Amino acid sequence: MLFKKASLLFAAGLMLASPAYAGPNDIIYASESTTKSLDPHDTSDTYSGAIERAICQGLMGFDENLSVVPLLAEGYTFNDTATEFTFTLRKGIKFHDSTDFNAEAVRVNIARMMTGKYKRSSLMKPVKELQVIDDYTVRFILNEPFGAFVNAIAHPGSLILSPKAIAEYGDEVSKHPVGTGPFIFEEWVSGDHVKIRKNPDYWRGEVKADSITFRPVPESGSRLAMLRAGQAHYIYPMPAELLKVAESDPKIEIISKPSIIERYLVMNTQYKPLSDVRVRQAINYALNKQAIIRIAWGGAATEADSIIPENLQFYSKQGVWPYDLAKAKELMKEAGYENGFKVVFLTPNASNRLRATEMVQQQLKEIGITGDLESMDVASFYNKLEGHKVDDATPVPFIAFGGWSASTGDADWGIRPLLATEAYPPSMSNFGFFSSPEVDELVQAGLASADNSIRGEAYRKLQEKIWPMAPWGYLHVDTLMAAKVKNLKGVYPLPDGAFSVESAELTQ
Amino acid sequence: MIRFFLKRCLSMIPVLFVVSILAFAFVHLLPGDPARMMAGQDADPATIELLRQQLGLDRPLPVQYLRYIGNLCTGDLGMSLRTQIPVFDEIALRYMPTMLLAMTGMAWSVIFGVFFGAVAAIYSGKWQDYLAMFVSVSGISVPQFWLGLLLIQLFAVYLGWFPVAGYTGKASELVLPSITLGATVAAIMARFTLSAFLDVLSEEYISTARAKGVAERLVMWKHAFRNALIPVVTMIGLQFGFLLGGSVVVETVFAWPGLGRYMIEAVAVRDYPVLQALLLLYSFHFVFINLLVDMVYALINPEIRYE
Repeated sequence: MLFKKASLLFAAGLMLASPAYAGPNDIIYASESTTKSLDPHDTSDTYSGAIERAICQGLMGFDENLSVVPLLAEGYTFNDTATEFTFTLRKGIKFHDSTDFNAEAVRVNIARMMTGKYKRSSLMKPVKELQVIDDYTVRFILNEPFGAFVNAIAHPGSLILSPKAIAEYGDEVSKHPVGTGPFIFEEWVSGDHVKIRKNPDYWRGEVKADSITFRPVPESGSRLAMLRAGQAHYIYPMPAELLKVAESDPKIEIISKPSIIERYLVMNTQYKPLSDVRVRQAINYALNKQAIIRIAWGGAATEADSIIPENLQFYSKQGVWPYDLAKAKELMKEAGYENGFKVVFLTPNASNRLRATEMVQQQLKEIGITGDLESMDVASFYNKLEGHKVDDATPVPFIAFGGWSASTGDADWGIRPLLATEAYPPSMSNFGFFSSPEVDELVQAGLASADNSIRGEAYRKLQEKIWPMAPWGYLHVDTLMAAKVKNLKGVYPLPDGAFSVESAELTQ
Repeated sequence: MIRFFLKRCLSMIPVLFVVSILAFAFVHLLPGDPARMMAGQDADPATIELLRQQLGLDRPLPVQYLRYIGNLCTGDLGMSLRTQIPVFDEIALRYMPTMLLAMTGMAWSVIFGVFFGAVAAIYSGKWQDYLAMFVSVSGISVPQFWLGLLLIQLFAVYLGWFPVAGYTGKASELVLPSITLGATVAAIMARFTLSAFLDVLSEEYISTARAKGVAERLVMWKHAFRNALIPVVTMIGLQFGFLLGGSVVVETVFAWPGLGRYMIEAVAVRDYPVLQALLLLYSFHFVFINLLVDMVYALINPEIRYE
């Protein structure tokens, strides 16, 4: 009896087996991540933020190289001290619920963020007040100069929701996001997919795709299999270890692009021996970055050549730190550590990070730096790093595998939270307790103006200053890899790991 | 029998109460800060502090426990820290997919496992025995993720018979993951059935039956098989309890929106209310299935009676 039932089920399965044919322009995006929220003001992960960007838009946005471009605003002006920013809004734009986009809509959204209740409220922390000048002009008055403010406005955390939806749904707006973007929210099944459909009245012109479904597929082999079987049109990330398989399939195209994710080794710079700049420089000379990229990262990275990645605003190239063991040994000797010393290696247990740290451990053995490796899950890793104090009675010389992606696309957020004295944990993420008055001064100089030439100059000096101080063991900048079917056009990854689907289209 | 059932149901309450305390203690003992994980890697301290307050994590542990247990008594499992969706709803969404997978996986494994096990016992020492055990040992030895990816390559990518992964409610989506899940369990069932069967076959009443001249087929199926089923049912119950927790590997490989993957995601971000609720649910499964197994014993063997 049981067997009969089961065989019936099996037969039924066979009959249903041919996958339902999706319409010509229903696109499936398979990703490693799962959607966590669709309320832009209360979202902290890149993936959810990227889906929100297809539904909602901000006054400013990012282009594919992460440069700030006007979106719902036509443009902006600012004063000399970077404390006032005035935005002129575009006219004639409507939200998906047919209400008007105007200064009042901006006010409602900014006021919501300024209540301080949301995960991205911090973006509006510099704001003292928002003035509505007229229906299509708003002015932000800041508490103090904040040159990177336009990046905060372009950040996906500052997207504009329909005020009507905010009033109607309150904090449940996460399940009913309404914006001005190319796609209208259709459904979100928690733990499974999000579906958005074409906005027929999109203000920037016709949207080609009828719908896009975002599916979490955590296992990379399955993700690639879905692409190959035609059950997904775009996958991210494309696993580096399966590159050969994907390249051999004529239907598939690989997209790779430099990211803004920088990897480095955090060192406890306050205690001997890592407080000695010569020792830190020696460590940098002893790191064979090429080998780490090739073996631990599957080749999907480029060597770091500044403290911030190339795609971050105001990047200034310092040149790759050369791999030179003789020089490294010489510096160790000069510093009085000819016989080396002991450290603790710390790393999150994701396989690529663990492998990279193991390689670092082997490479540093060459100059006498040895020690045990402790790997743990991400939550425990942060717990461990935040547990160190600048005035620990029994300091631990540690070398930890770190990484950072500055979600604002600006140099400030790529440097200040990691290397400024004000950023000591638990306040921010300066886990190595690096501190230099000159660096702090330049960090402030970068924020004192909104004039890009002045800011650019400050950050150029800042990068030049920090690089030889070697607060980190410089490693690499990740290369993003995605894969798509060849007849999908207009979908591409952004350097922060997000993506753009605005002009997505399946062609024949 | 019904009184026994109800009595056993009532006795589950203290067990689950103790589990609730252990679950709370266990998740709060894990190092790591949920607020830090929710706020995102590049969050500023104000945001993290704000979240800590919103999530009630700034309060002393005993206060947090009392609130948790108070809510639990009214059936409120709390909100997921990560999504701000009630934990009950989140679990409800994932319960059916896991349940479906567990039941179909179990069905495959019972059918094939018990069949192979019985065949191996009946033809003990003959080629059928070796073949059945070869298949079942292979089932135990093959890693699930590898078997899953292999099935995907063959049946989804090359032959295109079944979808690769995902769950949208179609029966075809169930085939590959349930076979993958069932394979390991089937192997365990086969080994278990074999040993239970052989034990029974060496019993005196089997010799008696044979000596009486009962047909060999009747000896096997009526006398031996039925009695051999008792330990097998226990094993089915235990295995089913595990499967209901959701198989992390199978759910990950097949992008199955079930409880196993949810558990892993919740551990990664230290989503306390979700972890507590899942631990409670898993314990409930085991306690409840144990009870069902006891009931089934009475059905198989009329000599077993509960008062």
